[in-house]
Amino acid sequence: MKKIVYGICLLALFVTACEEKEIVIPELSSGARRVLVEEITGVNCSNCPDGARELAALQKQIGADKLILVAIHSGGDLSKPVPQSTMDLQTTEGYALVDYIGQLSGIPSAAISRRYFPDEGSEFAVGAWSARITNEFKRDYNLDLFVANTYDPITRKLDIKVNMAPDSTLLGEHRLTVVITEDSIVNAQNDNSVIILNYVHRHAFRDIVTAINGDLVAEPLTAGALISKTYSLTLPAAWDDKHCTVVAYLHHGGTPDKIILQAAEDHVVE
Amino acid sequence: MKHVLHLAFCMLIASALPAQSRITGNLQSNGNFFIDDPKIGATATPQYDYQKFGAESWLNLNYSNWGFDMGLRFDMFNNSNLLNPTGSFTGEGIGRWYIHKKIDKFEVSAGYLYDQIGSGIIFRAYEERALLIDDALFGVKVGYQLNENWKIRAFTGRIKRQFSTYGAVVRGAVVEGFIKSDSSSRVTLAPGFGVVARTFDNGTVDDIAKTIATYVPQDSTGAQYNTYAMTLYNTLTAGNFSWYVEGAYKTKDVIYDLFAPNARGGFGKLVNRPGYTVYSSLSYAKKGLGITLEVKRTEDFAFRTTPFLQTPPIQGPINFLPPMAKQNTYRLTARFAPATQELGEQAIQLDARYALSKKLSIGFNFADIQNLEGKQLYREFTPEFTYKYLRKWQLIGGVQVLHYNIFVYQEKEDPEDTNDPIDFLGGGKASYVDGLTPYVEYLYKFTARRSVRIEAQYLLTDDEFGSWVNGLVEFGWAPHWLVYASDMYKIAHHEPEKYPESKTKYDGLHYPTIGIVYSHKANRFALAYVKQVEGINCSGGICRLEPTFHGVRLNINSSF
Repeated sequence: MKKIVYGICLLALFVTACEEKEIVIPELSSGARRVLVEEITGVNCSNCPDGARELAALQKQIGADKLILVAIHSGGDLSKPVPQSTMDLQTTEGYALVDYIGQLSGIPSAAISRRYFPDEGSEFAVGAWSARITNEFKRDYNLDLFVANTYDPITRKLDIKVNMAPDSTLLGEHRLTVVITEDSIVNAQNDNSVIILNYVHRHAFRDIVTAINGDLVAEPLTAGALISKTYSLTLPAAWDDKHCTVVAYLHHGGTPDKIILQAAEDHVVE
Repeated sequence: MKHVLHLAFCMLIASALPAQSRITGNLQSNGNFFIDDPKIGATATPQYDYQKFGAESWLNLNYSNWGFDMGLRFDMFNNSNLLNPTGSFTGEGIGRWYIHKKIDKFEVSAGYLYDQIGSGIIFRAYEERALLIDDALFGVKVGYQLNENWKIRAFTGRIKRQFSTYGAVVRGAVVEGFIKSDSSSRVTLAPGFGVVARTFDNGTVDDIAKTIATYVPQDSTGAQYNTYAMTLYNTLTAGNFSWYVEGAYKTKDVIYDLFAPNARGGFGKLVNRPGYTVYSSLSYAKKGLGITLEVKRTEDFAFRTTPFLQTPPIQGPINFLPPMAKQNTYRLTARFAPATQELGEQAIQLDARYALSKKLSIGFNFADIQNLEGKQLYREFTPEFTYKYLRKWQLIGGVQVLHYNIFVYQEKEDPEDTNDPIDFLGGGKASYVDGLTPYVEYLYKFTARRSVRIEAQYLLTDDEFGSWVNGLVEFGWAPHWLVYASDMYKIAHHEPEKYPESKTKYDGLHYPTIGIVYSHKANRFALAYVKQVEGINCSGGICRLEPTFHGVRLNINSSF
């Protein structure tokens, strides 16, 4: 019996080893800031292709994973189809969104993270884009945002999951906006007074999934929290699902501003 | 070169052995000739594309003398797809060696050692060649007989990985005993208590830290070098009853949870969680009647040398969790076998056999497996009968009713069935295979030495590729010859245009096998032409997906 007890004690020694040093995990922080540019453009806007090319060049320089673009065809008469157009890229939702962002004085213009400038408003001309975008990257709100899509190409049902992961506590009202864009739409465009029949329209706004002013994020954005929002919709048959992208952005609720803190996107079809 | 010298040394010793001692051993060799056949999917692996031939061989030698037991095994793999069914592995060398010595109550072993604690829940070092699992412990084991009924043993080492070892150090100890109140008692107890500890090597720790460093803070998890697993078990035997119960607990362990949602919106990340497993088996056996009831519940009990998935994923475990489904032997009833879920499952299995008479016996098996949230993973019900007519012929018949979550077990999508042929069983859900498989086996003995065996199964299902039929005929001329032919046929879908190509691609195809086996004393030679559809290959709850095979197989087994 004694030997059995000794045996069990020996085993117990196995378990009651000295305290060990934990594995050192490096300090983690949320991902780098991504900047969203909402470009207001039009099919019959002669200067707009120059603006699109400016943004494309900036995106190539900065990286498509860091600079996210949405092109909204909501410039009034300049966004109406030309005679050679076979589709209309204007949407009611697009106009409502541009109204929400701020006073539009002409196109091409763009909102850079919806940051408001007293002398220019929220949307401004091409000349200021590069500098404003560069300045936005200097700001980081310690927040990460992720979009994950599940798509059935047969039923065209799209399930969207947006995760918000703040690294530090964010106070105030925050809203989440989710839009769908379609890339590489080939259609007519007035390019410096020449109608290009097979112009490639990039990142065209197609629809908004949330409310125009964004869905309220009621959960507190405290440091370390993980907040998820899910959405479901069916893609219209007219859209090319292979070129569709879901873009999500978390922004202030309007008071005192509508600044976009972080953006993320995910293709519908990988 | 080192391995050749080892082998030469042993042969030299063998030649100098005393006349009364001898070396025993066995040889197992497999040779596969691959025939490319894109129509059935037997293509696009190195063997089909350009290697054309693959082989595996194990030559085992054992010797006992001077109180020592010694063993040596030469392993060889040439362009083999046994390790990774879609890859090619070539390597050769000493796959195993060991020395064992018993001195009075004390014994010691060194080398590549096979052992287990209890049912293997916290530690099992074993070999399963069909899946190329060989996780022998390369180390030292010592044992001491405390008294007539109690024994303690301890070990330390690293787990084998083909011709090297995993970096983690594994150590353990177990106390086992036997209790019987007196010699006339019909009640006995066989308790045991074991502990195993695993220490990650620095390379694995580095990888863990680097992986977690890529996570967002919300997915961060701590990590530690050591994990301890403890188990307490007992077998109670009382007359016709036998009851085995085992409970195991594991301290916090870094494991990869494939199903854990991550902050990026996807699934899969490292987690650091403790775990437990409880398993029990109650049996009743008397003449003509046998009943076994098993239950098991597992939570976070993946216990591995490294948390990172290996290629293939079945490699690298330290333990073995008991399977909770019937080990089916017929080709179609074994087609959908459930792999043991280390991270979470709860299961029950009931098996019963009753002899109604000397000729007729009946039995049934019921198995039900769910995840910890109660979601059905597997359910099987198989009633069966066996009828024996004198020693002339025997008939076995039964039907398997199956409900199998193919998404969890094989990561395959399967849409909802709107026109399920076995809808009356309540099937048709997306991601599930519902199957009804009647089967029959008939053995007829022409003479004491000549016999024929016929097998037939029909898998009725609308899921995966649809319904199949399988038949086999085998002639035996004892003691030497066995000849067999079988065919597995994919029944074409009615209105195939309504189904995607992935479901109908094998419609109308035959998968024949023709083979011949010659046995002479302790030697067995088998040659077969084989066409085998893709599917999972399972052994004891450990499963892996294997692609289609088309070719010729040669197998040699010899004992000496």
